[in-house]
Amino acid sequence: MKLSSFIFLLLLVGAVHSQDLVPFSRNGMYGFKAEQTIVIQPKYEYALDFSQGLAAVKLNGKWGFINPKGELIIPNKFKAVSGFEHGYARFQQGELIGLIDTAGNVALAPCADFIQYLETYGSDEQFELGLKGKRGLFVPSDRVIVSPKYKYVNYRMGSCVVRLENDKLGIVHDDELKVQNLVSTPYFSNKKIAKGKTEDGYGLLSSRGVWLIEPKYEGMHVEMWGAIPLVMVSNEGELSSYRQKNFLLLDKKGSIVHHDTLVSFEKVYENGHMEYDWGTEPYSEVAYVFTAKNGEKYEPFFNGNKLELRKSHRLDLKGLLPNMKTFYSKGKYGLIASSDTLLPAEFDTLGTIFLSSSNSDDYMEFDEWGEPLYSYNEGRAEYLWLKKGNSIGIYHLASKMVLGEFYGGELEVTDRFVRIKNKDHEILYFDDKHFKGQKVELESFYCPKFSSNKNKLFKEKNGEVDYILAKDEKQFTIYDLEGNKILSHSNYLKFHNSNILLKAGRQVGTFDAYYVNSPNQTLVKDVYPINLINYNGEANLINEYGEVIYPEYESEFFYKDGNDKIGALLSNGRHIKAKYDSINAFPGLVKMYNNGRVDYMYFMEYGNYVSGRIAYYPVQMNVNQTPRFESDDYETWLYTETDTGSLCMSSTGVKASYQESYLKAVYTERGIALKEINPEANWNSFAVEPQDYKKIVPHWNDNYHLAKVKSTEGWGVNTIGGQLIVPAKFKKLEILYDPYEEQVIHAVSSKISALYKLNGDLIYEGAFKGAEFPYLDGMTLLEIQTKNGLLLIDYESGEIISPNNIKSYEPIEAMLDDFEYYGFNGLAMTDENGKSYIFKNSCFSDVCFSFKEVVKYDLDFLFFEVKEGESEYIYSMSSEYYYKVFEDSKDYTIDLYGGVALMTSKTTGRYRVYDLTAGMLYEGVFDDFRDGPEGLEVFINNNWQYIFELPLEE
Amino acid sequence: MFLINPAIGQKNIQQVFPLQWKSKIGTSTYRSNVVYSQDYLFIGSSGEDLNKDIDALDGVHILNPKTGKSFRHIQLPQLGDNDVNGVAVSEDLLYFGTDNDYFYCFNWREGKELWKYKTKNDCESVPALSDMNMDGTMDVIFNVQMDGVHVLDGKTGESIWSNDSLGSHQGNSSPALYDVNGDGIKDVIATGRPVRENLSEKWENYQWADLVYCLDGKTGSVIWVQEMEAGIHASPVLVETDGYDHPLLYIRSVSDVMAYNVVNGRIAIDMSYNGSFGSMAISKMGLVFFGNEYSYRSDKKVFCVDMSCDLLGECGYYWSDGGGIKIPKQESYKSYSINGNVSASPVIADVINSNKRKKNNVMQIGAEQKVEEVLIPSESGDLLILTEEGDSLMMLKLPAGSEATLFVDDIDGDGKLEIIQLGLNGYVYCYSTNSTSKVSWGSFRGQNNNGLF
Repeated sequence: MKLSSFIFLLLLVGAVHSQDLVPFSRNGMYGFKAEQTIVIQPKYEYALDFSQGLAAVKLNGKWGFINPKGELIIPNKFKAVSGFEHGYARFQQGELIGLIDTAGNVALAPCADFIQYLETYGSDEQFELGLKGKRGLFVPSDRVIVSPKYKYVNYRMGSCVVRLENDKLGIVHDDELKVQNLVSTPYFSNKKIAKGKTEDGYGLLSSRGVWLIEPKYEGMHVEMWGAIPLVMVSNEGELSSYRQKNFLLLDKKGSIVHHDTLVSFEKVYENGHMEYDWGTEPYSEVAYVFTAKNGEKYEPFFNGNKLELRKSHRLDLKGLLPNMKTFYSKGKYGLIASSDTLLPAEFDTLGTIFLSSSNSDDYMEFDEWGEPLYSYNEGRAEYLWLKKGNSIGIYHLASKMVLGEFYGGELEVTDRFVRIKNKDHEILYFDDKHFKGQKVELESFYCPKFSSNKNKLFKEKNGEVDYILAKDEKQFTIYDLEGNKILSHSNYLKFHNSNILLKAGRQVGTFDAYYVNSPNQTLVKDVYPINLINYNGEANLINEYGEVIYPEYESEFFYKDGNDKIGALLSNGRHIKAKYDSINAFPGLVKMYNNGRVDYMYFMEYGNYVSGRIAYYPVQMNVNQTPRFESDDYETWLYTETDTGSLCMSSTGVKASYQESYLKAVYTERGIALKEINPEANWNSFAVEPQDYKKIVPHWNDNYHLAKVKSTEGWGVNTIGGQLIVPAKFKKLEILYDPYEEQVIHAVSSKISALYKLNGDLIYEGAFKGAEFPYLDGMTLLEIQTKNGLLLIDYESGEIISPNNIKSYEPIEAMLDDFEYYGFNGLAMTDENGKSYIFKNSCFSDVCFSFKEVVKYDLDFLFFEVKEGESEYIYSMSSEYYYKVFEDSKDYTIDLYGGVALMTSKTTGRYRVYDLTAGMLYEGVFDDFRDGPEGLEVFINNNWQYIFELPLEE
Repeated sequence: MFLINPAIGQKNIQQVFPLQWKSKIGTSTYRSNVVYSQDYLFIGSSGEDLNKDIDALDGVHILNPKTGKSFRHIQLPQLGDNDVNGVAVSEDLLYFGTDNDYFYCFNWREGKELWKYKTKNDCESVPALSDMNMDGTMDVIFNVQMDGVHVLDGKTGESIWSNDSLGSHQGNSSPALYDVNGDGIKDVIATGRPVRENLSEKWENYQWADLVYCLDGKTGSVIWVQEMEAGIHASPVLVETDGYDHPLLYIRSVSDVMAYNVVNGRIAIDMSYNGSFGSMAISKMGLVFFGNEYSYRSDKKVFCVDMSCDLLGECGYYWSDGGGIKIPKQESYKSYSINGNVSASPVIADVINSNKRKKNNVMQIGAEQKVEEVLIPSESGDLLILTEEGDSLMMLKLPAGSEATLFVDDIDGDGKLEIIQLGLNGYVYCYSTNSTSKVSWGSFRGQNNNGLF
C-alpha cells in the first residue's frame, strides 16, 4: 500500500461513522467499505451491518463483534449471534439463546429459543422469551427475568403476572412463582398493590406476590388515597366504584379502620384553578367521603400512624378560586385562601354562584346552535352565597367582598342569577357589572323564548328566565339578562309568546296578526295588531312595542292587511306580501289562493322552504286534499294534483305536471278516506270509504305519511296511502327503532301488545311489557320482555329463537381467530329455572335446530351438552358450525396441553380426543396423553406418537 | 387410528387430486408466493414457527418439482427471525427479504450470498423485478415495514432510490409495476399508511389515511396518490379490462374493494366489503373473487362479485346506515360459506379438465371455450372450488389449512397441471390433476408477473 493511500485510509477510519460502513464480500470473505473505499479488509467468514457501533463478524467459525476500526471488541466465541438491537444482541449457546450487552457481558443467560423485543409504548423495555411454546420475560431496566415456562407473561408497574398451565394466574417475583391460584388478573397500581381474586375470595396482593390481606372476601375494592390504600371489603358480593354495598374499610394490613358498616363512598375533588399562559385550568385534589349506614359522613385521616375515619363536614363546592377552600370549625363554615381567612367560620352553609359574564363574549365561541363551545373562565364561580341563621349574604369571590346582607330573605339561585327577596325589597344579581347592589323591585319573571342576535347566543330553555320585567314608581321596564334596558312603558306590558328584538324603522302599515290553527286551516286573530316596518331595506313585522316579530322556528306567521288580503312571514325571514284571498295550510305545506286557484305554494323540509308561483300550472285545488310527500336521503318531493294533472315540487323547484291515476288519502269530517284520482276519470270515487274515526292526528311522530287514528276501541295508525297498518284498538302507540334504524310501532293495550313494521307487517303480538332491538353483529335480534322473562326473536326471519322465560343470554363468539374479530355465531341462554339453551341460526351437518335445551354449555371452551333419551352428546361450537363430537359421553374431561384445550372421553372403551382449540376430533385407542415438545403426543403400542403427524394416506 | 373429518360427506382432496409428493419446509403466510422457474420450485419459509430464533426450516427452499426433494435450503447464518415470505427469481439470482431486517440476493445454484441490504424493519412482501436503471439487468423493488418502497440495483444491491414519504404500513402488500408515464421504466404501485413524522408538508393531509400510490420508477417521486378507507394488507393486481387503454389496478383494504385507473389513480370501481388480507383474482369474465378473514355475514367468507356494473354505474347498491358504506345489492354478488378464515388469494385454472363441464348449461366444445375453476383454501383446511361463473362446484378437505395462495402449473413436464399447497402444518403438498389446460391465474397475484395479470 502506498503511503498516501495508507494515510488516506487512516484519515477515513478516523472520520468514518459506523453507519457509513457496509459489509461486502470478496472471494468468499467479508470486509467493510464506505462508499467504494475498503475500510476493513475482507478477512471474516461472514459479517453483518454495524448496529449501535458494533458489527457481528464470524472468524474461525465463531462469532464476535468489531468496532468501526476493525478491532474485535467482543471476542469471537459464540456459535451464532444477531446484530445489536435495543442495546442487546442475541447469542447462541447449545440450542438456547441469551443476550449480551454492547460490552460483551451476558445480560441474559441462554434460556430461550426465541427472544423478541416488545414494543411497550412508554413503559420499560421488555424482551419476550420463548422456549418450546412457553413464554417468559426479560426487563433489563428492572433486572427482571421470568424464565420461559408460562403460557403468558405480563409485566406492568413492577409486577409480573403469568398464566399457568391450568389457566390460573400467578405472580412471579425473582423468577419464582409466589402466587398461583388467581382466577382473574390483578391490576397493580403504581403503589404496587392490587386486589387479587382466588376461589376463596378477594385479598390484597403486593407486586412481589405476598398476600397483604388474605383472600377471603366476596368483594373488594381498593382506592388509592395518595399513597394510602383504602381497602373496602364485603361479604355481600362484588364491590367496585360503581357497585357499592355494605362494606367495611380496612387498612393495608387488613385491620378494620372503622367498625360501622359503610354503604357508599365518593371521591371529592377539592377545587382550585391554576393560571397558565393560555388561561385558567381547574385542578383538583382527591379526598374520600364515606357514608355509613346511619347516614353519617366520614373521611379518612391519620391518627399517628393509624388510619382512622372521622366525621366529615366537607362542602363540595365547585368553581372556587385558586387555593380557596371552605373550612369547618365548631359547627360552622368559613373560607380560607392559602393561610388567609377570608370568611370566619360563622356560616351555617355556603354555596357557589355561577353566572355568565356578559364580558366573556369576547372570549367565547359558539357552535351552530349557539351553544358555547368553551369558555376560559368556565368552571369558575363568581359569588358565594352565605347563610347565617335567617340572613343571607352575597360574597364576591374576585374582590373578596361581601356585597350585601339581607335578613329574613328568600334565596333563589340558578346558574344565571341570584334572587334574594324579603318583604321590603328584592335584589337580583347577575354578575359583577350589572345590577350590582341595585335595588330593583321585580314585578314578575316572564319567560318568552329567547332567540339570538349574532353576537350573544344563549341556549333556549323553556321555563327559564330570559327577561326581567321590573317596575318602579313610574313605569315598567324590561331588561335582558345582561341588564340592558330594552324598553320602558308606563302601562303594563304583555308579551306574545314569540321572539322579540328591538329595532327602529319606518312604519308602513298596521295589520291584524293571525295564526293558522292547523289542521283546520282557519285564520285566528291573535292578541295584538302588528305594524309593517321597513327596516334596512327589509320588511319587518313590528308589534306595538316596536319589536320585530319572527315566527317560531319552522313555522309561519300570517296576517291580513286593510284590504283583507293575506300575507305571511316565514321563520327564515322571508316575507310573502299580503295579496291572497285565502290560504290552505297543512303542516309543512301552504297554498295561497286567489280567485279559487292556488297562486302560490311552498312547503318546508328541514327548515328550508321550497316555493314557487304556480300561475303557469293553474290548478283547482280540493280543500280536503292532503299532500303526498316522498323523500330520499337528499330531497323531499311533494306531490299534489291539479285539474290537468299532478304537480311535483322539490328542492329543484316545480316540476312538470303529468297525468296519471293514483290513490290518495283525504281527510274528511268522518275520518280518513282513500280516493282514486284521475283527471280523466271520476274525481270523487272513494277507494276506501271514510272510516269512522273519533280523532285523527296527522303527521304522527314526524312521519308525513302516517296518521294516528282513534276509533271507539282505541288508537291505530293509518297511512296517507289509506292503509290501516295498525288496527285502531290500542291504548298507546310508540315508536321503536329496529336494527336497521327503521321505525317500528309498538302498540300497547291492556291485554295484548304488538310490534308492527311501517308497512303494516305484524312482527310480534302477545302479552309483553316492552321490546328492544339489542345490537348483535351478524344477527337482527328482537328482545321481547314478558312477565316470565325474555323472549328472543330473529327479527329478520320472524323465527322465535328462545323459550319465553329467558333470564340472561350472551352471544356465542365462536369464530375465534388471531385477530381482533370475534364473530357472532348464535346465542347461549339461561331461563328463569336455570335451564340452558343454545340457538344457532343455521344448520350444518346433522345438527339443525332453532333453539335447543342443553344440559350445559361452556362459552370459554365453546362446547355444549345435549341429552337425547338416556344419551348425552357433546357438540362443538368452535367453528362456524356446530357439530357433534362425542356421542353418549357422560364422562369427559377438559385439560390444557401446550395451550391447546383437549376434551377427552373414554366411555366407549376408546379414547377420543377433541381439540377444542382447533375444532378437530381424533379418535383411537390411546393409553395416555402428554404435552410433547412439538405438540400433543399419545401413548400407543408402547410408544409415544406425535398426534399431529397422523399419516394422511391412512 | 384415523382422522375424522368434521364436515361429514366432504371429500378429501386426494380423492379428487392424488397426492404426488409432500415435503416439510416450514410454515408460510398469506404473503408467501411460489415461484416455478428453471425447473425448480422456490418457496420462502417462516420455519418451524413464526417466532423461533434457532429454526431449522426458515429461509428459502428450492425443490425438485417432480419429487419434492430439496435441491437447496438457503438459510442465513445469524440468529434472529429469518422468516422469508415472498421470493423472486431471475435466472441464477434469487431475491428475498426476511423478518430479520435484511434483503438478500443469492446465487441459488451455488447457494452463495451475493449481497445483502440492511433494512430498517421487516421485509414481508413479494419483491418485484424490472430493469429500473436501464442497465439491461433486473433490479429489485420491495417495500419495508414502516419504511416505504426501496429499489436496489439487482447486481450490486446498491440503492437506486427509496421513498418513505407515503409509507408502507406493515409492508405486507407487495408492489406492482407498470409503466404509467410511458418513459420506458416501470413505475411502482404501492400501498401504505404514512409514518406521520416522515410526511412532508405536501402530504400532511394524508397522515391518518391508508394510501395506494404510484411512484415514478425512474426517480421515486409521487405520480399519484389515493386514499382508501382502512388498512391495506392485500397486494395490488393489474388487469387488462375492456374499455380501458391501460390495465385497471385492483386493490382491497380491510373494508373496500377498489379499482383505479392506473395512469391517473382515478377510481373506477368502489365497493365495500368487510375485508381481509387476501388479494383478488379476476376471471376472464371480469368477475372478482376474494376471500375474507371475517364478514358482516359471518358465515360467508368467499365472494364472487360482478364489478362490471360499477364500471357502468349500474350497480344496485344500498348504503349502510351511519357509515356511508356502499354495499352491492345481493344480485351483484355471490357468497359462500367455508370453514375457517380465508387469507389466501384465489387462483383460477381449469384443474378438472372442464371442457366436459357445461357452461351456462351448454356443453362447451373445443379448447377455446374451455371453462376454468376458482380455487380458494381456508386456514381451517377447506378448499372451495367454484366455477368461473361463481357457482359452487365442490368443497374438499385439505390435510392442513393454508394462509398462502395455491400455485397451479405443469411443474413436472407431464403436460398436466399440478396444484401446490403450502400447509400451515409446515408441509408443501403437490397434487396431480388430469387437466391439460393452460392456466390463466395460477398463483399469488396472477402469474408472478409483478402484479400485472
